Amino acid sequence: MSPYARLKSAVAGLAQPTRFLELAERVLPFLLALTALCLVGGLYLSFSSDVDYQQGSTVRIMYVHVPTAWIAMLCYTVMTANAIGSIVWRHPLADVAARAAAPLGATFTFVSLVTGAIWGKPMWGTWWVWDARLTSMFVLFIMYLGIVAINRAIDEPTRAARVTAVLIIVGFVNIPIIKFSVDWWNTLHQPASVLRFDGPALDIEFLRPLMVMGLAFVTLFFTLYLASIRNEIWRRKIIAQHRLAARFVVHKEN
Amino acid sequence: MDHQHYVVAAYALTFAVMLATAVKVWLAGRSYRRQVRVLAIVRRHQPRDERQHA
Repeated sequence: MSPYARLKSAVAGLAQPTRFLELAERVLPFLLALTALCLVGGLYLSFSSDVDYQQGSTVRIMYVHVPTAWIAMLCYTVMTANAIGSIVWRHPLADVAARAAAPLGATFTFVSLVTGAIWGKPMWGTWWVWDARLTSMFVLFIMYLGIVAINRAIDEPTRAARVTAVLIIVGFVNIPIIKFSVDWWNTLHQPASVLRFDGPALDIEFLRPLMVMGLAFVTLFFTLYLASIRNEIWRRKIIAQHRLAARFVVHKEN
Repeated sequence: MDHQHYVVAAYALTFAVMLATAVKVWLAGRSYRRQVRVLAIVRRHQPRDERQHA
């Protein structure tokens, strides 16, 4: 069997909710342990690293603000991949995964926006400005809330999945806008200093805690994401059983 | 407010929100897991001809 065929069969295997549940049960404890380890290491590095000569200790806000902003965008990208899987290949788990990601994305975006405002007040003298980066992040937050609301407002699961998937794919246009907003427009928000084509502009003293906290938030996101997908599979299983039971009772009474 | 207060506020907010999200996901998982277990037990104890099939 070629590596491609093996990968294809592994992905196809995950489409079976039972197999996915088995995998989640096995992987979740490891992810949880890794998250705790990275968070402890990240927090230690965050508070033991040097302060910035201009910003003082406020620079430490970067170690929670930047990773949450990364995850907010990563989550939307993952959701878009799931939405494509749901529309094009009708992958049974893709819809579940897209639905489970939206509330998590909203949470990370909210934290990123609020920690950004807390950082902005001492550095810029204001909590908020309507510049391109902040506005596009705010639009992302509203989109997450909209996706959650629309998905819950439509009762029929197949229709809800399709409508949400189209909305997610269309909304993906906002992700490059967020990323390049600081290059395309003149913004109060500083330009990218880590994810740049010519390498990070940050000193290793700041880059080290940022990377460890970034890893901690990535593992936290995937832990919560796997658990949310597992919960959604169980929720659908319970609803299906309740519907079957109701149908059975009606059938028996007639 | 000095700079330390802003830092503490940002970390407190981040960890409070993340903890609340993790607890919510965990509680939902625990509740669903129990319901699925109960349904499986009920289904196992039903006579074969009375079982509902998807």
